[in-house]
Amino acid sequence: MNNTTRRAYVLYIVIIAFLVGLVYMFAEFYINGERWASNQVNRHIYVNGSLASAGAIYDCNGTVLVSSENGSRVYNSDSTIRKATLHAVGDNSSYISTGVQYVYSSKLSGYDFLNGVYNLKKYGKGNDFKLTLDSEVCKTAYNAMDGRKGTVAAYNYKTGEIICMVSTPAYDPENKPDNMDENDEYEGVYLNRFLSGLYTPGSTFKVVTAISALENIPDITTRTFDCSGEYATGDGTVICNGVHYEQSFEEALNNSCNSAFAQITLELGKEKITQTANELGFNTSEKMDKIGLATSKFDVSAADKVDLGWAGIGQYTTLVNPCHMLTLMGAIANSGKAIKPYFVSECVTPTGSVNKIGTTEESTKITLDANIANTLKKMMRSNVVNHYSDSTFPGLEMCGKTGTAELDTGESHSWFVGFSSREDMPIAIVCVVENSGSGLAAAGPVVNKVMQKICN
Amino acid sequence: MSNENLNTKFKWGTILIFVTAFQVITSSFVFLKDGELKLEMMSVFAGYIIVEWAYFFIASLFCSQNNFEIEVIAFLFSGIGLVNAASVYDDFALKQLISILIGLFVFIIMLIVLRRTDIVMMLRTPVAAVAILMLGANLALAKYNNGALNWVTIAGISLQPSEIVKLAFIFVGASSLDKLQTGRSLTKYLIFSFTCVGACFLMKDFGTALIFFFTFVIIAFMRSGDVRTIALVCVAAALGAIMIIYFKPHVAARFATYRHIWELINESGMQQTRTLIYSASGGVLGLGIGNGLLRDIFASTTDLVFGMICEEWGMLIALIIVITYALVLVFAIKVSKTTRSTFYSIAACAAAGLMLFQASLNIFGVTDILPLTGVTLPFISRGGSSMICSWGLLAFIKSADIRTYPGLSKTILPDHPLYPPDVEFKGRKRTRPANAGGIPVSRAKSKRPVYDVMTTQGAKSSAKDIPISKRRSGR
Repeated sequence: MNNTTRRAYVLYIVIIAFLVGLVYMFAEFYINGERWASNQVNRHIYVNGSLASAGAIYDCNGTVLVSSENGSRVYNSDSTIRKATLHAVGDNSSYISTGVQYVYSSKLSGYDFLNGVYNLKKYGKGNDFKLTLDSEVCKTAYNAMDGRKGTVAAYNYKTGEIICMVSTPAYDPENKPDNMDENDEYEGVYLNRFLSGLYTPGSTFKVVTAISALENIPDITTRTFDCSGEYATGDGTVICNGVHYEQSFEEALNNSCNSAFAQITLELGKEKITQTANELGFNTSEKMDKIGLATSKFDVSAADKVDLGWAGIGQYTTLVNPCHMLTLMGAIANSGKAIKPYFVSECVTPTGSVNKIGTTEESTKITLDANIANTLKKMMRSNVVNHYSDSTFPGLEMCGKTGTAELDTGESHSWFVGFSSREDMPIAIVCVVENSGSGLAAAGPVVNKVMQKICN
Repeated sequence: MSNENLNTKFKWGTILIFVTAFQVITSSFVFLKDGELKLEMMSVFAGYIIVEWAYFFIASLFCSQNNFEIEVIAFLFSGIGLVNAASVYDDFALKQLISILIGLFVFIIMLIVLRRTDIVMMLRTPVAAVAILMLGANLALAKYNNGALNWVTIAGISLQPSEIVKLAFIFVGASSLDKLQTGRSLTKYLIFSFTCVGACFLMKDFGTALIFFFTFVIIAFMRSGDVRTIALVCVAAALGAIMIIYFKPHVAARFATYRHIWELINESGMQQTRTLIYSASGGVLGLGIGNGLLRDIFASTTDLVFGMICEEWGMLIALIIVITYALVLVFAIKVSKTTRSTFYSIAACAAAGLMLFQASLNIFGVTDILPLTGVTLPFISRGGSSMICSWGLLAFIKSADIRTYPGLSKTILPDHPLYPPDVEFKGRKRTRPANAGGIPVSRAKSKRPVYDVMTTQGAKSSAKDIPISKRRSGR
């Protein structure tokens, strides 16, 4: 009897094993509950795979971009605004994985660990979201893109608020086309090119090379560079866009002279240009709250001389994410201080309490010396004054750099990156128009329209 | 009636009032749904509460019962299962109430039978035989039901014989298995166990097979204390399981979903993913009875009932329920210290262990922590056979509690601990101390060696464990 009783204590092992299992299970609920609850088969939130009842999403002026009415999602009444804000807002069926309706679906549906989706059931809607975007500016930007693929985005480089974020092609979520999968016109339509796109930077990369030169070559600003229309590296030739003869460093940037920048890159060497690129946020992943951005790539480890020359002027294997480029512009404009862009500002519960999501936050991935930033700012201003002409951007006092990214096949991508140097308008902007040739001709007018709209 | 008795009765009465309040509130979500009073449903719940109180009054006033731990748990859980089942489908309510009543009936009958160890001894062979017959009949008559053969339908009533056999398994095991190394009773019990486990395998009911095996290990260990033999048995079983998976790939295929439920979200992982999704949707506090959506998924009130409780009643109540299964085992271990014989100790621990193990298989199965085996959650899952089994298991624990049979506790003497002095056996008045060991006369007379539960030695030490003064206190 005594023995039997003592043996019964072994059963405590079973109890302990059971309790360990319970702790594991409830820990899993705590950690994964939000992800599980926002699964698309959860009919509390989704009806027929579509988000049905969730909170509304507003732009910075309180314009409703999407809301729930009678168990279905109703978007803004203006079809252009619907298209222009599609990638920020997201679709019903979670195809756009960087949209608010996907990234914040559980919050949008009012999920929290304590109450589950109870608030959604009680109030018939979840938490509302407020964006920093201005839907009217986005509309202007969408129209300016004029059916071409690409992206245009502008943000306040002092606060981080993204005012405009448009990715094209887009579609109308209220009126989704049927044949998008086969249609080339809609290639990559679910991708927000601003956040997830990677483009060959072309001459816009000369900004990075210039920063490296300012960091590493003490007499760079007093040197002159001779351009004969091409630059022989020893194992190949880098072709220039023209013949620029003798020019200063600033003039070389004005001219976007390939010969000069290939020469500078070779002088810097692989190590230093790579170091600068890494300091400026290349090859490191970055997130915008919960959204992972595409990582810009700069890798010349296997490059020979001519490749390095091409890499220094933004060709070769170099790829840039537009959001990263925008942040870099912000850093130059803001005396080296890179403020991270964000477009989701706050989450408002049905009871009215406000939770901040995006805040003004300095990037830890981009470090830039203030003096170098200011020098470059002047050089980029002279680009506009001396080369692109202020009449292209009337009243904006723009600083900028164009890019014409040559591709293996097809017409070049057209880039413009820059910012206004006006104190009252701390706005940086990035624009990529795919396969549209010259940067200034294609991207310049888009940038001007968007900046003018913001200005007014 | 002493003051102390009155106090305990008052205490349990108060607890039962709280239980009733909980049941009234929860059931009102069903019979007052959408603001309209459903009289039929209300009468089912009213009937259930009346039965509860009737049991309490009869047991405490006429059967000198002062302790209701087991019954409170059983009534609370059965009530949750009843409300949950009724909330899904009106027709479930009456059926489930009848199931509970049958379960309660079995509980009472078992308590009466288990009171008399001589009857226990007499019954074990017939019970074993009936159990094997039931499993045999099951195999012969059953039709496939959701991948398993464990259902028999007779005259329109579906029955799961393996559930009832669980009770027989403990009954036979606790009453017959002596030292694992010795002779005939071991062989017999081994054959019986093997038959039960084997029958479950043939029915493709792997969960129940595992439950039988686990219970066998508890009983064998508590009997023998022989860790080596038990380890050997477990290794042999594990090897057997590996062989089965190796030679019968379709068995392994049944477990292919395990840990891959999200990839098979709309196929074989459907039930588990929905359980997780909707459990998480319920949060800690729940969405309220009737507001869930897991209810629309197949087997929501049976296999997936844990998910329904999480979603609608909240994770907090689900947590309280699952911890209670562990507390029942703690209670069983505690009462097993002061039983009248090792039969009760082993039966109580085996029953509570079985219940906890089955609850684990269910809870961790539907949440993909263990492979899904399709066993029920005791008391909470809808279904008659499962309900009978659950109540029966608690009868083993209740019978092990010496306070259950106050008359016996009073009369047990240190030298003759097992029997009340005036037990009659086969018409003959037993004289003490001739048969003090509790060996039935017929077997004692036979020349066969007897390895029975109630060895004299065990019995004596059992009596030593319980000081007379302690046993008499409270009367």
